[in-house]
Amino acid sequence: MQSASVDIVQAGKTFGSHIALAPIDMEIRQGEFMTLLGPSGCGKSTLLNMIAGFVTPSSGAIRMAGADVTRLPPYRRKIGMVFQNYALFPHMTVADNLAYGLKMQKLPKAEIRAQVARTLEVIKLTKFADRHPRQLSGGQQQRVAIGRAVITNPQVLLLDEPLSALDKNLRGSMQVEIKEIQQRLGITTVFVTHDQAEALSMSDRIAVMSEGRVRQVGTPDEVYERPSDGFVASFLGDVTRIFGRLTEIRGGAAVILTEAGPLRLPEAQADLVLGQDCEVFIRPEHLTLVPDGQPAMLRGTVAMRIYQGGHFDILVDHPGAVGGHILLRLTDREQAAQAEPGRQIGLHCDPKNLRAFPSA
Amino acid sequence: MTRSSIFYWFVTPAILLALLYAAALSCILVFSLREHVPGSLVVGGWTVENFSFLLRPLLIAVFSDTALICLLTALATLLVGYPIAYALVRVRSSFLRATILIIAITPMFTGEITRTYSWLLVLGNSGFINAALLQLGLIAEPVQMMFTLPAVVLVLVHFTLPIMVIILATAISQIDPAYTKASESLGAGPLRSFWHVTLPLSAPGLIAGIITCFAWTFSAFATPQLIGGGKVNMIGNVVYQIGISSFNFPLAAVLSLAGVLFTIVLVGLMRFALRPLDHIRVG
Repeated sequence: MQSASVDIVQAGKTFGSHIALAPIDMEIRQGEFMTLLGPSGCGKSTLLNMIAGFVTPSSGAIRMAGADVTRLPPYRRKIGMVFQNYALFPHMTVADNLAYGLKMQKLPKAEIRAQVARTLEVIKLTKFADRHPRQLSGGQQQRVAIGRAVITNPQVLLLDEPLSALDKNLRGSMQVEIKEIQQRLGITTVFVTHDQAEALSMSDRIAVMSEGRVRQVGTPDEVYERPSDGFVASFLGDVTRIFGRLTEIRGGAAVILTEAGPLRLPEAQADLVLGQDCEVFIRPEHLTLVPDGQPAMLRGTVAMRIYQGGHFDILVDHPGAVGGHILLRLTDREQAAQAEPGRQIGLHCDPKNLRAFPSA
Repeated sequence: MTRSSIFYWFVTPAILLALLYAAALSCILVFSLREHVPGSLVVGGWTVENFSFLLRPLLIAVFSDTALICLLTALATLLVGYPIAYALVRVRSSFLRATILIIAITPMFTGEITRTYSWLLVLGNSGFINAALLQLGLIAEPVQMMFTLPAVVLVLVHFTLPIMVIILATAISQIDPAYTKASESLGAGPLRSFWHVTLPLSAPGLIAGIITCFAWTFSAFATPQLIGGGKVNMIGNVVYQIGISSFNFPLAAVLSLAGVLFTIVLVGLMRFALRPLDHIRVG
């Protein structure tokens, strides 16, 4: 079966007076890896379950490969789904779990056997065919769950926080495996997660959601580098926010008055009106140390230096920053050595990397 | 108080009861080994003669009838109880759930005699069913329902239903609804999902329910006594007749012991026969 595009047309869901998902439009392209990212309760699972057919939208429509599936139950939708706890059938062996979807399609036994064997090879579990799920490790169960979801050649693969039950090391390698299988099959994939690192590393595009709304849809670098609002900016990656007010717009530059004095940034990066209270967002990797005695954009005392293995996180006291600290990330050991706790340092950030959004 | 001392406090009543039961059972054992003196409650000398009585065709028939009634009851209770238990677990409205629970559990709190007598009003020749059918002109004469095996089974089902529902509901509530979702995502409709996933995953409950109901019905007395009316006899009724009508306590004791042993052996066998399903552990 050909993998399909998914069109969500003004689809929304309300439970009584509670809006789980405000009507949204979203187009998931054929073969695309789309991630729904957001904190719990943001509506991402509702949207996924809507695409799967487990939740009927209160309004709007869902199309797969152009065909309206809004009223189709899940078992007629040609989907493959991987659940948070895998939901592998505990009373069936690995092979039976894989065969289940094909059996439901009433394929001839010989063909089922051949396809199961092929899938076992893909998920590298041929030796485990006759085991029960309980006898497998978390990562192996995960692979069975993926194999079971793709063996029927579904139009769309839906993944509901499939990595959250795994420990951190395994998660990294499973990310790669999922991505590999997805690319090999070229299957349209919708992936739900609250883990921004997972979203950034796996997706073709990310839809950042909060409170039942889609805040931004874009490629990983778009949502990271050019967030559409303060929520997106702070949800993806680390960020320092500095309180301020837009006081002036002159010559294409916006001037924001902060505790640390005026900050200038290109007007296009400040979505504000004159006099509006705002926050200036700075990514830790965009800040650099300024040598002593030279003018700096921000100044403060180093409060803490945290060794992170590959880099150092430096917390710099600053009264104007949300939380009272500026976060700075240094990979250079010599520079990091200078940022000794208790020492005054100056910081600089290229204005093109600054963003300002209205205060929440 | 330490954990273990609390534990002993909790266990003490159980131990006292167990001792009491053991004492009663020993009395029965002693009776079973004494000679019967016809026409008297006083027993004679020691003997093992009484046990040969068990091999009489009449007794074998009573045992197999009892086992049959118990099996039919357990299976029928399962059929009636499963949908109720399923609804109890999966229905979303808490009002509806409470209603189902109350209706399903009430029989437990009705005295056995009361419950059985009310069935007389339903099943009797001038009972509710016959009256209704006669009134509708569907039958010309009352259908004989009392004193038949199906009637006994029917009333026993009513008796065992609450316990079956509780056991099944516990088992079904252990099944993660995600299994059903997974099954549906793989192309199986609700019926096939139920058949291939939910039902097999409730196997532990099915086994526990059948065994419990079987063992529970085995000692039934009032129901077969009143509804069977001497035409449908279970072991309890025969023990009663021999003990109270003929005053043959030694023989009654032998029968009682045999009943207990028979139940233990049958339940053990059933457990063994269902071993292959044991690897199903849900959760």
